[in-house]
This record gives sequence, structure tokens and C-alpha cells, in this order.
Amino acid sequence: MQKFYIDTNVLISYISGPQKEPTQYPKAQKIFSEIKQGVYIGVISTLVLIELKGVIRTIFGTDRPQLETIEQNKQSEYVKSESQKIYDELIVELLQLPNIKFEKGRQSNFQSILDAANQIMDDIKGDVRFYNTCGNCGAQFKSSKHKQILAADILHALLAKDTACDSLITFDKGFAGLVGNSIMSQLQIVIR
Amino acid sequence: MSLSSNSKWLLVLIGATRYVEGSTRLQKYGLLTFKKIGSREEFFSDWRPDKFGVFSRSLAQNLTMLVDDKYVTKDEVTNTYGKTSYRYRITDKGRNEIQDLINVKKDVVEDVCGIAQYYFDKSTKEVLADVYTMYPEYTTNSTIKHEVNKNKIDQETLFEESEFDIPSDQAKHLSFDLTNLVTRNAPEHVFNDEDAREKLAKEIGLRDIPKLDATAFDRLAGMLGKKIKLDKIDAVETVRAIRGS
Repeated sequence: MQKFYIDTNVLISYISGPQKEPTQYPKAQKIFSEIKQGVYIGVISTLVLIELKGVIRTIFGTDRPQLETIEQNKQSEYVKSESQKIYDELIVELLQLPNIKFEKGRQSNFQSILDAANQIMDDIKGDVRFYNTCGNCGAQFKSSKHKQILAADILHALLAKDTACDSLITFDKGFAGLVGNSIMSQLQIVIR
Repeated sequence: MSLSSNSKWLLVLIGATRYVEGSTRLQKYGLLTFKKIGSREEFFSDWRPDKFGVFSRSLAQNLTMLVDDKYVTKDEVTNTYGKTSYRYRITDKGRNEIQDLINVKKDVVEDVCGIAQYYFDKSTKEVLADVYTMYPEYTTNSTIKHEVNKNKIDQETLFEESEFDIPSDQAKHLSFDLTNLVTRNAPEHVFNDEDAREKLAKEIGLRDIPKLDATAFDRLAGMLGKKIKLDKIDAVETVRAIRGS
């Protein structure tokens, strides 16, 4: 059975549900349905779980009305502890999913993964974009930005390769920069 | 009293990976080891067909002795399918006993390690399928032959692509790692899902790994959404923010 590395955004979309994430949820639902049916194995890495924790904390951090009711020096602890409760509940369910594997890769040589990531960064040019308005306030503002793949994206892809996945599945178009990269060799990047 | 050659090689087999799960698996490893090193080293040779395929009574007795004398630990675990099994792990006392073998007979040690390390990430079904295929003469009394053969058919396409030449073609395709034999700080083995599940379960305060249950897919869908006040989540952007975009 083929193995698909599940990117964090796919997992977040699925657990967010159709009301909170109407755009990506149907696609995530289809992916998890295929895993359930045994069409392929879904692989969840420790890096994805770390990001899951981070996302939940970020979401709790946006609840200003609630945070304002808590003493300032206890707000961070509140975010951490409340996030942990939800994370734990999610893990309980994740552990029960058939056809899901929790794999950590070979861990034999972390430096070799970083060297590969460095090489990929060298291989990718990224692209320059011009902006004529401010992204925040919409005012006329001429600027330019160099867009490139994120280091974490590269690490996910290398982890997918390290866990012998056939594909990495993501909703993030930023991964397009990795398609065809020689270091990825047989790993297929699937952007839905 | 020092251990017999049989016992020491059994320790090498167990110590090649972080653990060996199940005595049935260990028996199959034992036959593969005998076929591989039996002509060079003294190793259990009383192999006979039994209800779960090949079996060596002397290996089973030696294993019990190694556990009793604390060369090996035997821990009960609940596997992914909710079934109880036993994990055998070498202890420091066991490692000390095989230092001479590691130093003097490194080639043979590597051959033995190659077997356990090759099969570590594979299911017991896969181990059985390989051994039943290679040594059908030991399957005559097996009560699980039908099931194993069915699994063999399921895996035929995988075999074509795999390094399905253990043990006849020696170990040229295998990679060895003797770390676990000499230190407690062994690297995690690739694809060790069971270990990862156990660790995750412990992290969140569970005693055992929850049993697999397909209805969890339904419970998980939208689970986070129901527990937070945020109106909308853009999963891609939220994750990109975490990654520093």
C-alpha cells in the first residue's frame, strides 16, 4: 500500500470541520476517507504533531476577550494548558485511526537531512513579486518581495522521504517549488 | 558460570534491535540465524515443524533462562490491534556477555544483526510469509499455514521489489548497526510505528495504546472546530504562520 505523508494543513483542515474551514475541509475529508478505506496509508510525523500544538496555541492566543479575564502573567500558561487538553483529546482519536502511521524517520543522521535541505534551498530560486498596495491597509505602497519555499516545508518533504513515503500531500501551493527537485527523487508532491 | 555459545548468539539476535516482539517472531529469526551461521558457529539446531511453523525447543528454553537470569527483559505490551504480546530486550548484563563476540567475530555478529534489523519494521505476518516460503519443510504441522499463504499472495508484488534474498545471499544488501548491542542509547529504528504510538499514548497519560477504531475518523472530523471560538480557520495560512511565513 502506498504511503502518503500528511502535511499539517491537511490535518488541521480535517479537525477544523466544514463550518470553520469550509474551503479545505472537503478536500481533507476526501483524503481521510481514502485512508479509512485503505486506499493508502497516512503518515503523521512528529514535526506535524509539533505544528499541531503550535496551531492550537495560536488559535487560543487570538481569544482576546477570554485572555483579558486572566491575569497577565498567567495568560501564557492558560493558552498552553488549554491547548494541551485539546491536543491530548485529538491524539487519543488519532491513535485509533486505522491506516495511519506515526513515523519518525531514520533519525540516523540529522545533519544529512539539514545538508539536503541546504542543497534544496540552493537549488530553488523562488520568485520576485511587486506590490502596489499595502497588504494590511490597502494604501498605495510600492514594494517588492522575494517569495521562496519555507525551511519547514523542505524539512517536511525530507521527512516524508526519510520515512519512505511515496507522496507528500498538502494544500499549500508553496510546495510547488519542490516538484521535480532531484533530491526529492521518487517522492511525489501532491498539492490539492 | 559463563553462557553457552547458543545463548550468546541468541543475545546478539535480541540485542540487534531495541527489542524483539513475540516469541514466534524470535523463533523464526532463530531459524534464519541457524541457516546463516549454523555452519560456522554453534547455534540451536533442533528445528522441527510445529503448530506455528518452525520451532526450536532448546531456543525456547534458553530464552526462558536468559529472562530468568536477567540477561533479557520480557515486557508485556498491548499492540496496535489490542492484543497482548511480549517484548524481549537485552539488558546491560546481557550486553556485557557478548562483548567478546562483538570484538572477535564482528562479521558473524553483523550477519545475525542483519536478520533482526531487516525484519524489525515488518509485521509478524511478513516474517512468517518469508520463512514459510523459504523453508516449507517446516510448515507441515502448522495450523496457520492457510492464513500465512494468503498473506504471501497479498505480498507477492512487494516481494518482487524487495531484498527477498535473506538468508541465502548473505548480507550484502543489508545495512548493520551495532549500536544497540553496545549502548543503551540505540537509535530509533525506521518505521517504528508501534514504538511511536506507545510513546504518544504515554505522553498524554494513557496506560496503553488505544485500540484501532474506524469510527475515530468521524469523531476527529471537526473536533478542533467544535472546541474553539474562532469563526473561521484558514488551515494553510495558519500553518504557514507557524512555519514563519
